[in-house]
Amino acid sequence: MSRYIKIILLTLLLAAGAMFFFKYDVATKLGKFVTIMGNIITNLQKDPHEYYFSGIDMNISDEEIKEINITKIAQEFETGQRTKIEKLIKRVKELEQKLSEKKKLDQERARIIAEEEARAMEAQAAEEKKLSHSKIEAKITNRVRLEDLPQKFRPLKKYLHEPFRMGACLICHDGDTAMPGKLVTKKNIVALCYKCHPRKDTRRYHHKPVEDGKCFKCHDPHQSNTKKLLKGKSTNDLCLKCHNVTRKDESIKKVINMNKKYKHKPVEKNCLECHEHHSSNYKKLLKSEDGNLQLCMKCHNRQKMDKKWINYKNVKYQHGAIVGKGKKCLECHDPHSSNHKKILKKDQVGLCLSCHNKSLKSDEDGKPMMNMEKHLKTHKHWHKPIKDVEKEGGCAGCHNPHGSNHFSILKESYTKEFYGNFSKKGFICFKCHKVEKIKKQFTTKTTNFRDGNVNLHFLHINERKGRTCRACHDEHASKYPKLIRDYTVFGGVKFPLRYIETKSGGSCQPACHKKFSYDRVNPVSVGRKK
Amino acid sequence: MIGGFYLFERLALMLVLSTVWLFGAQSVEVLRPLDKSIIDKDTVTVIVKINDKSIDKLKYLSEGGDIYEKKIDASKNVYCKTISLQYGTNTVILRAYAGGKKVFQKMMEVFYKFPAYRSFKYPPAGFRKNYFHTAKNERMCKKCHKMNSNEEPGLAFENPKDSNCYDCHKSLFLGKKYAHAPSVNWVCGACHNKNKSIYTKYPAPRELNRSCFKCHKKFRKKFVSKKYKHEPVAVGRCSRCHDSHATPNKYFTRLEVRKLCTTCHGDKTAITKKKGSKCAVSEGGSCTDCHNPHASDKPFMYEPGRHEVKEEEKKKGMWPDE
Repeated sequence: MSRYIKIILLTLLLAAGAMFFFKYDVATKLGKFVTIMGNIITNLQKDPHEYYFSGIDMNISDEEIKEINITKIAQEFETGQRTKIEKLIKRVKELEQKLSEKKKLDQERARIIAEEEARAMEAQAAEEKKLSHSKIEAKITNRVRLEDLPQKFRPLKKYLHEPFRMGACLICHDGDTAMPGKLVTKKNIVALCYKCHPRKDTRRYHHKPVEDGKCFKCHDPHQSNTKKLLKGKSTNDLCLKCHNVTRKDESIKKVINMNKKYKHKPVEKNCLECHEHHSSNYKKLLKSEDGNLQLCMKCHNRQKMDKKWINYKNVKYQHGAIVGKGKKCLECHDPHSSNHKKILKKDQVGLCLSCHNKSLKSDEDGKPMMNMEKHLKTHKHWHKPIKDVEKEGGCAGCHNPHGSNHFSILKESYTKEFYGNFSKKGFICFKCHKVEKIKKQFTTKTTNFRDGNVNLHFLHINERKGRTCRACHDEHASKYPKLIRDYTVFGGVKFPLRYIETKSGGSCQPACHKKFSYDRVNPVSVGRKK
Repeated sequence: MIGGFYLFERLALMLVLSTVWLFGAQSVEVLRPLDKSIIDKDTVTVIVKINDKSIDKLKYLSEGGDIYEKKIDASKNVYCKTISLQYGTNTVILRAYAGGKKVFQKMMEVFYKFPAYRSFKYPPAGFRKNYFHTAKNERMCKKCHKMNSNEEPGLAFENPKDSNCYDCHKSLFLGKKYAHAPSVNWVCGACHNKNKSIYTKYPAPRELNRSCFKCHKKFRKKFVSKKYKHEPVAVGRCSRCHDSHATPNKYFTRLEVRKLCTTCHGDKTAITKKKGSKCAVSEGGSCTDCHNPHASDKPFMYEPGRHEVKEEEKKKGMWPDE
C-alpha cells in the first residue's frame, strides 16, 4: 500500500515541477530572476562579512573608522609621555629634598654629639676641680676619726666614698642641727650628689632611678664591697633586684627570666656590655642604636669570636630578616634568655614559619617562594630535620639563617637542575646520607630502593642522563612516603609521580616512564638494556 | 503575481521534503565514519543509530578480515565500536541482523593516512577530513560520554582514567610499548588547544615543530647550528617520522628505524656491502648507527664520531677510493 502512496506522491511532484516550469513565460521568469538577484545584492550590502566566517566577528563599522583620529591619538600619546617625564622629574626633586633633609639631620646629630662630648669634658674638668675644692674644704672642717664612727659602719668595707674615707661627714651632713644624720640640703639627694658629681641625665633616655633622682637605689653613699659603691654583689645582681620576673612589683615591665634554659652570655656576666646604666641616646638604654646590627656585631665579629662569628655581609645570598627593614637580629633571637637553643624566640621550625607562612618574594631572583607552612600542613611525610627539631636542627640543619654563598642560603652546594652529575663534592645531601646508597651498583644493604640486589638509585643516576636528587625527591615534605615528590615539572606541566609503596617494594608511574615496580624479595627486573 | 509564485515554490519544497522523509527513514543509520573520510590513526570508531527495534545483532567487517559482532538490547539506540584499520583505503562493512536475517548492509570507504609511507601519505581524490568535535556531534554523544575537557592547565591527572578524554581515546595506546608523556598522562590541552579553529573544538597544532620545541628546547639549539638538515627537520614536520601519541618503537618513531628510513630512501644495504663497510650492513645495525637522522655538520649526515673511524679504515685500505 505504502508503495502506491510513494508512486502517487512522486508523480504529483513531477507534475508540480512541470507546472512550475511551463506555467510562466520567459519575460516573467526573467523578472523573477532580477528580483531574486536584487534581494541577494541588498542582503550582501547589509552584512558584508557575514558570509566568510560565521564564528568570527570581523565587522568594523564606518562610524568607528571615522572616529579614529590619528592626530588626536598622537596628541594623547605625547601628553601622556610628557606627564610621565614630569612625574619622574617631580620624584627626582622629592628625592633630592629628602636627601638634603637627611644630610641636615645628620649634621645636626653630629653637632649634638660633639656638644655633648664637649659638655662631658667640661663636666669632668669641673668635677676634678670640685673634688679638689671639696678636699680643701674637708681639711678646714672638722674631721671625724674612723674610730669615732657609729657602730653600724664597722667593719669597713672594700670601697669607701671619698668624703666618708676622709671622715668629712659635714660635706653632706649638717653638723649643727640637733638631729644627727640629717642632710645638708633639704631639697633632695640629687642636688647633693650633683654638687660634686657630673649630671647623669644629659642624654635622651634615662634610667628610671636617675630620672626620679633616687641615686641611693643603686649606690650606697658610704661604703660597699663592689666597685662604684653598688648595693649588690655585682652589677648583674644589682640589676636583677628590680628587673627580674620573680619580683612581684608589676610597675617594672622590662624583666628578664633567669630560670630559662639558654641565656645570652652578657646576661650572666655583665648587663653593661649592651646597656648604659644612667642614660643613653638610644632606646632601651642601649649602647648603640636599636635595630642596628652594630651592637651585636661588636662582639659577634671575626676577631672576637670565630665560632660565633656571624657573616651576613660578605656572602652571595643574604637573609631578608637580617638585611631587611625589620628588627634584624631580634627578629629571631631573644637578647636575654630563652628555652630554645641559640636563644631563639620560638622553636626553630615554628620561628621560620612565622614569616614563611605566605609566599614571600625571593631576594635571589625575585620569584615568589613557596608557602612553607601550607606545604608542611598539606603534606604529611616530612624530612627528618623538620620532624626532629631538637636533634637535627630543624630548618637550620640545611639552611644557614645568617646568609650563605649557596642559593636558598643553603649550608652546602645543591642543584637546581633536573639532570646532573654526581661527581661534585660538598653536596649537602651527603652530609647525612651515605654515598654508597647511590654509587654501589649491586647491594642488599645500603638502600631499600632496589630490585633484588640491583640498586635502582644507581640506575637512575649513572646512566647517560643522570638525574639529580630533586628530580624525584622533595626536600621538605611530600604526600608520598620516602619524600617522593608530588610532581615533576617538565615542559611547564606538572606530572604526578604516582608512587605506591608495598611491603617489600613499590611502584612509580611518572612522566618519564610507564608504571615500573620493584621488589626487594622477588625481583621484577625493570632494568633497561643499554 | 509574485505571491502566487512563492506559494507554488513552497508547495514544491514541501513535496520534496516529504519524499525525502518517506524514502530516508531507514532501520539503521550510520553516523560515523562518513563515507570517504580520512583517518589519522590506526583505528576507527563506527557509530550506529538503530531505529528498528527488531534488530538484535550488528556485524562489522574490516579490511583486514576481522569480524566484530555486537549484540543489541533495548536499553539504548546508539552503539559505538572501534575497528582496526590498515594503511590506505579500507572498506568497512556494517551488517544488521534481525532474528538471524540480514536486514541492512552498508559499506564505507575510509582512508588511513600514514605519513611515513609515500603511498599512504596522500589520499585519493574525493576523500576528505571530517572533524568529530563539533557542537552538533557532541550533542549526539552527550547522553553517554562527557564531552567537555576536565583538564586543569599545567597539571596532569593523578589517575589518568579521570580524564574525560580517556573513555573514547584510550585505544591510542593499545598494544604500544612507548608512549609520549603528555599524551599518556592525558594532558591533551597542552597541544590540542592552541589555535581557534572553526572546524573542531580540539584542533591539532598547525606548526608542529613549534609545539614540539616548547618542551624539547635542546633539540632546537642543536638543529639550528648544524650545516645540513634532514628535510622533515628543516620543514618542521616532526610528525612525519614520530608519532606524538604512542608507537611500538623507541623514540616514538612510526616504524622501526631501518624500515622508516627506507620508506623514502630505498634500501642501500647492497651498496654499502659492496663498499666493504661492516656495521651498517650487519643484521642488527640500523641507519642511525652512522647517520644522524636530524642534522649534522658532516656530509651524508654522518655522526661526528663515526666518520673519523671510517677515515682510519680508509687509510688501512678497507674503503675503496671514491
